[in-house]
Amino acid sequence: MADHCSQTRERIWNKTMPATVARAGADQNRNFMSERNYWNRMRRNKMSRRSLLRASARAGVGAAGIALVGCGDDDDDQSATQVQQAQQQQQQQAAQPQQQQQQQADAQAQQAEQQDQPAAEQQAQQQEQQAAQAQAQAQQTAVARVGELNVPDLSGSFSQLDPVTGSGGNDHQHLWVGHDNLVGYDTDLVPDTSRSLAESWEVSDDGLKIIFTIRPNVLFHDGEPLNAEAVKTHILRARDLPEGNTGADVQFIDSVDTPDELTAVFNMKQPFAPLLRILGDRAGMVVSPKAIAEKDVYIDRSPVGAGAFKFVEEIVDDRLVFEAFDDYWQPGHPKINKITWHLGRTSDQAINGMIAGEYNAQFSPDSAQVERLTEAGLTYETRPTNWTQRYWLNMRMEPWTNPHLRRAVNWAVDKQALLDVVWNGQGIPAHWGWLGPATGPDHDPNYEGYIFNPDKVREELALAGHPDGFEFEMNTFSGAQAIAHDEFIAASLAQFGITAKLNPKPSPAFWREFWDLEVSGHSSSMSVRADVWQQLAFVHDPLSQSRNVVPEDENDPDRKELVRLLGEVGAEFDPDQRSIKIQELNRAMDTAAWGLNFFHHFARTAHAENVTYPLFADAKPHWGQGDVTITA
Amino acid sequence: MATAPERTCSAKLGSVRNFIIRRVLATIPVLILISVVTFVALRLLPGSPGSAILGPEADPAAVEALNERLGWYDPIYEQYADWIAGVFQGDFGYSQRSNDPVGPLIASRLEATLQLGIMSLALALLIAIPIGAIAGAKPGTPFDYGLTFFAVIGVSVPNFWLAMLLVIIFALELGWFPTQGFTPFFEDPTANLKGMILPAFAIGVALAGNLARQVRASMVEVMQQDYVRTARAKGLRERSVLVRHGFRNALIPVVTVLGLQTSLVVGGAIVIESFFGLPGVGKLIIDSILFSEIPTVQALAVMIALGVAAINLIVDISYAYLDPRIRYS
Amino acid sequence: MSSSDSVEIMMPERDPRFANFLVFARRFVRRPIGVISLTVVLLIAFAAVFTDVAATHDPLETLVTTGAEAFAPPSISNFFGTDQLGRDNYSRIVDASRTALMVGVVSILIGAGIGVPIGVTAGYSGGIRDEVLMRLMDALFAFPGILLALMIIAALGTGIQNVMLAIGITFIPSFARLVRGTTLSVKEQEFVLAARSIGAGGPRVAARHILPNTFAPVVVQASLLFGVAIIIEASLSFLGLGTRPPDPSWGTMLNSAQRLISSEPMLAIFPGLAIVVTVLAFNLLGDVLRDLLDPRLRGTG
Repeated sequence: MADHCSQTRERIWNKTMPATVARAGADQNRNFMSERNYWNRMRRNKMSRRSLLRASARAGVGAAGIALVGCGDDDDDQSATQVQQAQQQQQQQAAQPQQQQQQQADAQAQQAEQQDQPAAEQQAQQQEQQAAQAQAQAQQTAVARVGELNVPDLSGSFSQLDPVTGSGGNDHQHLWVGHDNLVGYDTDLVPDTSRSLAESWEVSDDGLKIIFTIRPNVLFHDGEPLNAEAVKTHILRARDLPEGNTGADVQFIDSVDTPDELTAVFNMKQPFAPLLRILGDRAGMVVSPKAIAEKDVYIDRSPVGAGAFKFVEEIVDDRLVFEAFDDYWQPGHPKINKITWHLGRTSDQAINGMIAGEYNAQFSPDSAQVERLTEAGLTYETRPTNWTQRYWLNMRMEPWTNPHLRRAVNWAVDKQALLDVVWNGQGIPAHWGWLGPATGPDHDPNYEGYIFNPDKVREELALAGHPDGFEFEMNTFSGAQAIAHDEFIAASLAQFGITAKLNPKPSPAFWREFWDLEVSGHSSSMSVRADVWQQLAFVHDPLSQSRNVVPEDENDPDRKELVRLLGEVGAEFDPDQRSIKIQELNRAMDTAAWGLNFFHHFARTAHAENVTYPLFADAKPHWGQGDVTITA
Repeated sequence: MATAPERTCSAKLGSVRNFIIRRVLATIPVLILISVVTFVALRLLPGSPGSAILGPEADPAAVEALNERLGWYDPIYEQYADWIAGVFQGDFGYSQRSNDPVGPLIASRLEATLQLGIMSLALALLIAIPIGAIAGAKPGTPFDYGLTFFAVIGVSVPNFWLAMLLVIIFALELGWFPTQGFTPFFEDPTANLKGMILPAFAIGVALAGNLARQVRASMVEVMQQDYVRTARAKGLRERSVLVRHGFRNALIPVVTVLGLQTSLVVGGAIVIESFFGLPGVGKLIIDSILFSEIPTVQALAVMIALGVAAINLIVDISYAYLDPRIRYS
Repeated sequence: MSSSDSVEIMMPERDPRFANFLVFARRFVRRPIGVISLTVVLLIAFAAVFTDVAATHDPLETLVTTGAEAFAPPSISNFFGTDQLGRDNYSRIVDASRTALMVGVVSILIGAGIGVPIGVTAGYSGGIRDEVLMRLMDALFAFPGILLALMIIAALGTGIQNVMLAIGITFIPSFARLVRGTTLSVKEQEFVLAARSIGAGGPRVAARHILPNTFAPVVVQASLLFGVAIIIEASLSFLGLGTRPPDPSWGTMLNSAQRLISSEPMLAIFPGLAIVVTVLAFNLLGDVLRDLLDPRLRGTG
């Protein structure tokens, strides 16, 4: 058994290791992630040397500790940029095998060319903005906002409106409306200062210090100002609150220094590259320190953030209302007055309501009913994402302790047919392991994962000692489409004598049972996390929720390998190196078959013709900031 | 069983009072029993307040920390004592999903459910009384068979399927009514009624079936009574006999089934409110059960039981008042 | 005594033993509704027992293996069309009749199996035992059936066994109250008094003389509750909390149909009709049995 396992891995390694492959991937996906290295971008463009020096001095950090590479708003010193790039290249070259060097340099040059243009534009924009800001302060109430967003909420319930204590993948649509992030990301999940509460950020060479310059003149909904102290209070709560669910995300932050009003220095326990993007998720949604101090509440249903919309009311299972925040820091934003979620609607109620004009925007409408929406004159839009429909396995429980059985079920499902029959083709089959084409440079187009193959199923079943199949209990969500999905899978498995005993459960129950080891697996989806690392760590990191799901034996070869790779990815700041390592991790994870990935959903939305908002690669609705426009 | 009511004279009021006292006293242990049994039984629900609050993907350690804080691991009798002490002060605890106090939360849901219940009962009576009375007046005729058959169909149709048919025909095909949603009556009476008609009908049909059968049976029985025969012998017109002696007396035992209908209305509301997306108590129950939200389920269980018991009590008392034989049994 | 007992089915007053079966059968045959509904019940029972004969397709086989079309309209090969997974709707409905009947039978056995002894004990013993048992029944009875079933399912989990158990529990108070009422009236009758006067013990009298007399009303009640059981099962499954796939269920079929109600309304029609026809048959049968077994209404219907 072990032999087979390592053989497979070797084969994959040989096939995909050359750097050219990674290059090809990167080129192909250039449009996805035009500016991949947001750490570098920041160094070149977003940070003035002066402010950096000031910050670092106050933080008690010697200039030597930090790569002194800034240039920016008030500094047109191109040579500094070049110096920095050269330094970087040197570092990278030293670390890389000879054969990759040239390509690497090419890629970087190319990247730099691409980057400079938009960066300059952005800079100009920002200056303009700042000039406008002073005027805007006075005018802000005069901003003309048009329309309201009315959204049917299929999830039935979100967990919490407190970013730290909540945990549901459906929460974000509400969270991002009420909260802005310390680091916000753009539609391709690239950190973007124009969407962030931090004006700029800087990381030390050793990756152990990150310095954030906080945007001035930002107010929380309760009137409190945003400052370094507020960021500190929030981050420490996100890390330490026993009832919190963001602890794992920010576990590597050791302490936070606040040398001045608008500078926050994160001291890291170890270098952790995913942190910036992670701050685009829950952990970075800064909550008013006053609200934290006053409430000491684990249940936060009246959030106080610094987002474009202010919480108005929640009526359980009926509606959730946010209205435009007048003192929002981005002038002219938000562009609409109000967002109302109509909670707990069934998919059919949602569609009928859309058609009747009761709602004007819906996320993830029932894929089987898309035609009805378009026939009714609604706009339907999609974009590929890495939101993955999967079957989660517990590697500690029978029958999934046996890797051959895990692989057997992986080979046994025709993913494209599943997608077509049950989901109206609204996705991309997961034929490349965990990371589909939507993950851009992290996607590995040359890796071939589990693609329906009856011979392989029988082969693995025989290797497992169950040539005639086996039986397992399959927890599933009790929604109708979910049941159809699982019945399709059960029917597919039945061809090989594998009996999946379906057990539909309401949504909170099957997750809890999975974490509590009451059931060996369950069928649901994995939402996109801000950083790929987060998504992969969610199921494979013994430090995360999944601590009881990964193989118990610390010397289990799969566990050892995956933990090692996860650590390497986490410590890698260079984008290209990182992608190579992520691809390696993806192959290893897929080979270990810790779960079944069926397909990657499209981000799908339907809205009235006069409504516009961008679709993000995280497949979640972003309706905060100035993202939604409604024309009268 | 039931015969013509005697006129109640003041001498008998004392026995009515005794009867009421006896019935009220008998109800108290039932309520205590219900509160204890549900309190203990709800501990059997999978999950915990912590997992209900923190959501599906919550870290088990976070859940445990919160449960600890909420006193979930305290001895159950202590928790019950806390809870019942709160109940007597009108405090039913807090909803785990919204952090709202449960009492007002339930109160905010009463409007839709009460309206649904009243409308479906009214609809049911409107349908059932004529059908039952006519069928019962002429038992054994094809007319009787036809009407009874309809009544039986009424109780044989699952309310949610009827709701689906109604939505297909009247909302989707004809577009007369919305498919879902609730507008408070005082906000917009027309929109409110439009939205409530299909749900009320979906519940009302089964109620009507039940009631019609009861009215028929009672009518058949009354029509065999001596005083009806006497009335006929007196030479009263058949119509007058039917209405004055038959129908009026036949309605008395129907009162008792009205009590049972409360139970059916609540049961119907659970399914139908979810189907139509009405923010009522029924939807609250099922959502709370699905999310293992124990304080809400607990409060609702006790309140529903209390409501059903109270209505049965009222029915019994009014029946005892109307039919003195009950008092002595 | 709670007066709501009075709405329960009336019990036979004379004829302490079960009525002469031939006489009963002759009367039954003269009731066309009874004959028709019994025929329907038997047909459904046949379909449930001999599913292979009654069904035209394997109800579980999907287009994965058959290559069938999804959402095919009704035709000669698929009487009621096919569903999203290309399964034959007719065969699935036939297959689900087994679930429906099984739920009916087992839940009534549970309800009567526990409810009847409680009723006899309470009625026969009287006093404190009666008081405690009946207050317990009152407590159970205070919950609407579907709510009680829902709470039990929420605690025990879904699946056909738990559904049957949950529905069975909700039936206990109905049977207990009914049988208690019968027992109260029977125990004062001469043959019971006679048996007691010659020194027969309580349990013996209860078993030999009282229990048989509760048979007729219990049968009538069972027939009527059969329909209730089917509807509760369907409702629970419709809410996604009843029978688990692949166990077929009309309610589950309606649950999946609900999602597609606007585009594929046919999917919602046939399983619903199956429920209505089955429940109607049992209700009509129950009505006829009640008429025949209740001497008071005899001759009036």
